Amino acid sequence: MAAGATYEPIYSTTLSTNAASITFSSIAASWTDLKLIFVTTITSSAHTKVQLNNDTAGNYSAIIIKNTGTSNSTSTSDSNGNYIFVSNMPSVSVPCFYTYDFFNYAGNTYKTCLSSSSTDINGSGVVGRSVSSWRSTDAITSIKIDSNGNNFKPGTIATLYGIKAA
Amino acid sequence: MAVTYTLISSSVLSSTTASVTFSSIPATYTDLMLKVSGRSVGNGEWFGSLRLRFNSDTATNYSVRSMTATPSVGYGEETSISFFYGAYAINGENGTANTFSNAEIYIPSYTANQEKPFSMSAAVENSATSQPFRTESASLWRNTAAISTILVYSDANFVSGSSFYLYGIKNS
Repeated sequence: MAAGATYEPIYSTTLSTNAASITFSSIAASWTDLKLIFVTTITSSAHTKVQLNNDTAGNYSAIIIKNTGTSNSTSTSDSNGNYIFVSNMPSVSVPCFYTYDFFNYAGNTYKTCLSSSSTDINGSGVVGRSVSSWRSTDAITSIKIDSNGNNFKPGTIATLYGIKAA
Repeated sequence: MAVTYTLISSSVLSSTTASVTFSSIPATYTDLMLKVSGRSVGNGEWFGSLRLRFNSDTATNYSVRSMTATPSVGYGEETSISFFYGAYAINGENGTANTFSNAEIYIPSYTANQEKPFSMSAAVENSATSQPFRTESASLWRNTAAISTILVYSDANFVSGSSFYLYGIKNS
């Protein structure tokens, strides 16, 4: 068993006013994996964007399974996106819950992210799960959660945890 | 170094039991995680419904959207509004003996003065070709109260060996 804590909060932000984005920067390479927990409402529903190291190029890919309630569960893919994609259209009134797990984030290989969207809005909404790849060998040092031209509302909370293998 | 991931309470059943209750949950954490390894008896099925009720709320304040993958039908969906949270997430009595499911429920911001979203991931594998499945769900409890009690039950009974672990996670 590891001598110290293996699951630590690195950064946490709770919004008291509207904010267009939340950025966690200067992420140290001290952990093995990262986990982002995000609960939000938004001023206008749109896909939020999660981008790494300010990379806005088409270096992200994803495959998603989801149930939107308007049809049978479906899978979709996005091969050259400019952000990590999950079925993440937050509600303007009901808190919605997202998770992002980044594995081996400081390694020198492409980065994999498992993400989840849990946005039940009293019988409508989306349950989505996805796997994404960021085609960069850089260590992840910043994570930006962007509201895509809108604002995250007060009460939104984002926490980044570091998980150590040893 | 802060301890941010703490076991609040646990229960490992030594006999067939209808429910497990976690009460007096302190408001000192940011999020809650409930891990269940379960198997049911009494409903004559391959699988069972894992159900939750918060703070003894029996009104129709729970909604769930699930997608379930099985080898026979691919994946399907279920949406409901009910007086409890429920999703197929535990092994049933028709499956291979001694097989138990894995289910993880994550409840973020459980003390926040807002409606409570939460997620569940479950795997029900029974070492047989019939009815293994994987469930993912998004849920909402439409209540702004802090969660202080969680009742865990099913559409039947939990068998001996079923286990329930409730963890608190702090963001500071």
